[in-house]
Amino acid sequence: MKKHLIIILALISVLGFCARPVRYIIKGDPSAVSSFIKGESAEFIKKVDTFSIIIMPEIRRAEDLSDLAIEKYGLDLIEKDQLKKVNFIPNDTYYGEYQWNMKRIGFENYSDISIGDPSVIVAVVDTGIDLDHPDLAANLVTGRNLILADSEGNLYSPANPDDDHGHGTHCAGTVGAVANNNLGVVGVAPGVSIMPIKVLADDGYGYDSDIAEGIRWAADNGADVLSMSIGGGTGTTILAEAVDYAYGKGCVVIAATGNEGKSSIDYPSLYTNVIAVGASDYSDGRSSYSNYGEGMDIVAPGGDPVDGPANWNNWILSTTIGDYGGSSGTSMACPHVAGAAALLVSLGFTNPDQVKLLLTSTAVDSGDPGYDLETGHGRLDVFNALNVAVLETDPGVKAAYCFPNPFSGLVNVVYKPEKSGLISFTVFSEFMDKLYSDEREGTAGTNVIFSWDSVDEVNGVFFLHINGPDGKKTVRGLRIR
Amino acid sequence: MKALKICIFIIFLTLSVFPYSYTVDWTNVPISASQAGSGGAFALSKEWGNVGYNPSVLAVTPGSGITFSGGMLSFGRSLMELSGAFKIEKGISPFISLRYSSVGGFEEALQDGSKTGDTFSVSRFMFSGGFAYRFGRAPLTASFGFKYFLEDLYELSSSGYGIKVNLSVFVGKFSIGIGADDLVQVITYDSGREEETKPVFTVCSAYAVSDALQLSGVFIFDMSLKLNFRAGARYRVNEKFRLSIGTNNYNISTGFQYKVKDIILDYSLQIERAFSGINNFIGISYGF
Repeated sequence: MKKHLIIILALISVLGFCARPVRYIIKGDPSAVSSFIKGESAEFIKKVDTFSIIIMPEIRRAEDLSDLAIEKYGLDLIEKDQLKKVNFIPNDTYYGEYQWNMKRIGFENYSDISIGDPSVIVAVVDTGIDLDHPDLAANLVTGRNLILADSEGNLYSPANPDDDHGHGTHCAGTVGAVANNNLGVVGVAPGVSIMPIKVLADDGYGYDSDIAEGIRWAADNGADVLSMSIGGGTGTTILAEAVDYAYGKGCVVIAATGNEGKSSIDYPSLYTNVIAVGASDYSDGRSSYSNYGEGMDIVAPGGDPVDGPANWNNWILSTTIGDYGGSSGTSMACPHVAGAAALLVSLGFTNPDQVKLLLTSTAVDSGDPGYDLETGHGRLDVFNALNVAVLETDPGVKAAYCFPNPFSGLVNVVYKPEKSGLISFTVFSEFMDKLYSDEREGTAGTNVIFSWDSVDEVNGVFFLHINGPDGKKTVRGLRIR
Repeated sequence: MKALKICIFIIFLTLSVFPYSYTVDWTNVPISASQAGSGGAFALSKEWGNVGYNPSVLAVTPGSGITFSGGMLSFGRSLMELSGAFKIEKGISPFISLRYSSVGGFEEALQDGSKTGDTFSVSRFMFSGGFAYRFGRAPLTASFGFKYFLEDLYELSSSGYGIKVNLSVFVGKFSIGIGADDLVQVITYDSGREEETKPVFTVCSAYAVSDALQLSGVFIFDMSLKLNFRAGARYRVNEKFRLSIGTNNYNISTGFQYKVKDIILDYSLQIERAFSGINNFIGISYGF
């Protein structure tokens, strides 16, 4: 079933895929069509009945082209070829009614692009995972129990990371519960593999030394992403070094900021090489309990029971031991980001910094405009992240452009150099004041994306300037909020 | 003595402060064609089109006149200004300016990186007016200006107002100007949000080396002490013809002016180094 699903989704992604050049439909006398294509340097794609499908060298509004097409070339019709897509709605029992969080991050749209690759492993560093859960078992790989004994002194087996608390199972379900199995819930990345790493005992507590050992074990045994819905206390050297070790091995390390509602975030989320994830509520604001402050990177759905009457919009539904249940917290937010990171790794983005940039630069701004300490760069949007990731590898980008445009916080410029070499990126105000610069090595034929946070600027026009081996390119961006 | 004066002038320039760009003005991109050729450095020049720089000099500018300037700038920017300065009795010179600027060619794109295929533009309209005053026969002038502006920023529009005051002193071949821009400048967006911008204080200076050759220049600091500068020279070839050269933050400009009776024609171009863009300005003034 799972294989069939993956094949179907792969076909969908090939057919409906949105690296998407803008196409136009034209119709008219063959000589008129021919002269239009030649005169406007358009690229002929195919003929459908009496219509010709073309790509123009520059994207233009069909309305703007209409006069030209009709008066100069004698065409009968020109229309923009509208994009349609398959809407994949999983048949998992609770998806439609309860999993608002999955819809919020764009599951029905991004699942057309990727649901993850089984070779990509997310280590859930937590209380373990219910190894027999029907909505998880198919996606689990061998894990580890790093704790000696439970809270009552009963010895654990190192080879058995089974969950005796429930927290880790809930997180694992959000990362990658099996999709389209007519059962329970769906995870953010149902196509990836999940590695249970038990570092917290049955009472939900664990030592930094055990956590550090778990991080190292996961990094050494093939984990690509580490999801750590854990926190509290201060940092320790052993934990910091373990995080750096995993990061150094190419792991994307993600941690929850904590649930005390305070203005500082917990360790390990505060470490530099960790993506710090806070929780957002149903309205995309910071959940009241979500810790915030220096080091905050992004928020993801975590629910907020104090928002109002008890309903599923205030909770995150996921797997529990042998069952399903709702919970709220930054612990629930963290695995959303871990799943998203796993999807990016599945698309070939193995550099943790690049994954972090993709996730944060495509987040939907929430809280104060631009980056802010309460919600970081905004609320996770997996659809945006995957689209931009695809854009990075898309050979179809011919000229630099910025997105979103208009923008309010982060703005990105995508550019594909024709020659390899150093590319500089500079932001100027409308009045030629230099506001920001960055530079990076570019590879011929591979898209480069630069990002700039306009949080300190007023509304207005900005020039985003690229200077590379191909020469200079300048795009216009508008900041409004 | 002359060398000493030039030294004093240069030292003064290094201490000068000039307005930093703000939301609806064009202090880094010259407004009038006459100014553009000399890098926008001649804030103290006695010409009718100086409303956007230091309008206090209008009190000692000979006669009355109106000026139209149009700028066709790189990357879809355009700028037009119609301004006038009028001499009336008792040393009072009212002035008025209508300015329109726009930027086009934005490509709309979504958060997911896709382009919609639509393009858009933004525009601004500003009205400013006020009066310049000369204090008796003293070489001292002052001005008070008020501006009202409207912005159309695609899905957002705004309006705002601001106040500007300037003071100039003319001592022989040496002149000094000070001013304050954006006093009580408030911008109100249609979303209900309101922004206040901070005032900008200005000092500028100029020196006439000879009847034909004038030098002027400014250094510009913003609130974070980021350095900008302008410098320019004007050389009057004869009664009808004048050449200008200048630089504005390393963006070199040049231009010429030609007089036909009461009509003055200006053309200037500015090279924007970072963009490799070329800005063209044309202007026409009529004196009466």
